[in-house]
Amino acid sequence: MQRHNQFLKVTLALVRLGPLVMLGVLVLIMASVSPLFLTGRNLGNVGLEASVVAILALGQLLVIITAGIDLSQGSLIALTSVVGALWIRDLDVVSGWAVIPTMILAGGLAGAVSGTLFVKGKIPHPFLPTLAMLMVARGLALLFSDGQPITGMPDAIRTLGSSRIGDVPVAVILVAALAVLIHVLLTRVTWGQWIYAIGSNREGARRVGIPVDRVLISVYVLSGMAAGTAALVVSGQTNSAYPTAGNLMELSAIAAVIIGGASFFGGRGTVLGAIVGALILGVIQNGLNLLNVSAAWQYVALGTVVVIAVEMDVLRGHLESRLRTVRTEEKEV
Amino acid sequence: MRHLTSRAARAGALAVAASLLLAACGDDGGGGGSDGDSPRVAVVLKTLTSPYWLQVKGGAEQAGEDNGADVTLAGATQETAVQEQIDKVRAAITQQVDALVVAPTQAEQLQPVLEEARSADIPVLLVDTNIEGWDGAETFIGTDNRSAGEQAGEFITEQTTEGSALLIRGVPGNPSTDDRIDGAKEVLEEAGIDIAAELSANSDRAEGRSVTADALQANPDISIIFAANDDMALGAIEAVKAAGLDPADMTIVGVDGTSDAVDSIQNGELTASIAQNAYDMGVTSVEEALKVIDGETIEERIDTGVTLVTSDNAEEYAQQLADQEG
Repeated sequence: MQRHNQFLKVTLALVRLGPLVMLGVLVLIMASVSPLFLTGRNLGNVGLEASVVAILALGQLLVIITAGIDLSQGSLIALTSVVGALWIRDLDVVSGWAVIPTMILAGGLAGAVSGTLFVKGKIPHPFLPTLAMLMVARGLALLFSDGQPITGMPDAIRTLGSSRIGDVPVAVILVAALAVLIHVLLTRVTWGQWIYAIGSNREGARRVGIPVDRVLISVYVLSGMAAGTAALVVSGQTNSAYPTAGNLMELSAIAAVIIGGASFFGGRGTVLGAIVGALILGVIQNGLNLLNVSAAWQYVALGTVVVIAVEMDVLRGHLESRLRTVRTEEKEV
Repeated sequence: MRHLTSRAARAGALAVAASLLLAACGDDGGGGGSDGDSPRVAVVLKTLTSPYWLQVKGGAEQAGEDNGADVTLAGATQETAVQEQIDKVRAAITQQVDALVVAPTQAEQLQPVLEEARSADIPVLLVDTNIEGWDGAETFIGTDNRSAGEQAGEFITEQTTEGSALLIRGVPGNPSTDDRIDGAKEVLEEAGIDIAAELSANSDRAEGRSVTADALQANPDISIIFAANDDMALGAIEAVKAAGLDPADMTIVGVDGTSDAVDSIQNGELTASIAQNAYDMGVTSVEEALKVIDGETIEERIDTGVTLVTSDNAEEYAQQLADQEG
């Protein structure tokens, strides 16, 4: 009995580390099949390629912890970068660093609209207002840009998207800083406890006096700001803003958060998990590119990983409840 | 009071939602009624959101104006939105236009709805992308993408026959972009150039950048890059620069001759772009559609050719582009 208990505990500990273990295994596989994979320069590439999804995932994480979803992130990349590029090109009043807050705030504003529609408009599920925002933002990006890419980004944005310090891309440093910030918000600030509480039990949270509506709107604002920040990296990388940018990227962000062990039903999820999830996606894509594997197989690999990650989470839940039963039985004995 | 404000907020939110929806739908519902007897041609392109398609649009509109035809233009929000395009074709059938010009986003998926058009007695003309093995179309007007790819390959082998090459494909399964790569690949391989990598970047600039960064990592000796469109080639240039290399030392070729690509050629970064004569494609498709409406028989296959844009003729070509955009 005792040994069985021990076995359960060890398996559970391993499964809880799930995403990290999966990342480790993937890195080992890629490193063994491609000698180039573990070079500093290439790891920088992995980081750069994962950075956009990672930034989106940090925002998406907050939303998913409240049992919500934000489908508008990808379109907001297009809208905020086009807005930024047009300010630079047509207004000439803002330049360089000043565009950065403009793009982030534009994303936050769009998030505020989605969040307010959801909460104050009494829309039954955030899927709907953010789906509407997905369409509207894409449409506005196309309208504002006349469907054309706008080439030419200020140095400040190019630095964020393209330059490196040693082998480390500036975008990766940005992700690290944001990850620490969100981690602190989630673990050291009352607001963080509130969003977990809301995700676990919204009515209960309301009864204990948590300002549920305001907190919910705030996570959509932050998710939109994350999209604006990701837009900085995308437009810095391509030295342009284009209205089709970020297409379907919200789905990669959602996948990263879920792979990282967050619950789709709210109340659970960590910053580390989301970042690891984004890295898993990045490692697969980069590794398969290095190996010259066709896009078709890349999609298959990504889908498989999502399933494995979610099944591991199911297993975790199962083991946890088994362990609880064993413990209560022991107590009764 | 409290009740009132929450109701007001709710009404306000609904009003915002309604106006957002209107904004979302307001774009291209129109189509406009026919003015009297002028022939009505519906042109459904892959999308109207990229420079290339705006040129086809410009040509089609100009031809409509010149010939007194009522030409309506539509396209999906992006080249991968197949269902959206099918819906737009269906809308044109419902409007009982006199002829339909379509650039299929995916050949097989579009064929059924185009057959619906045929059975509604609406002649169908294909532009830009053919549907192989379907004989329902009056004609196919466009570039022979395979020969465009071959010409890119020939241009590259004129520059160099040394080194290895990266080929960047578009959306997997898209026949136009696949044919270009296949055409170029054959010529390059015959000339003894090593194909180091062949990756797909979904015709997207950011993806063009990341696949190139990965490929350069795996094969640092890549000195030739051929991308199936200009956007991916421009993304590739960003990756080349980020890797500390000078794009001017490499041979980088795209397809489409977009204004961004021409700028890049003038800056000495992109080596060349194989420009499809997009504007001519638009003009020809509407002119041929009008012939069909008048009962004339037309050629089964009309090649609008390509123009090779290099630093020699970039300026001239840029001027031509500026005059033609619709």
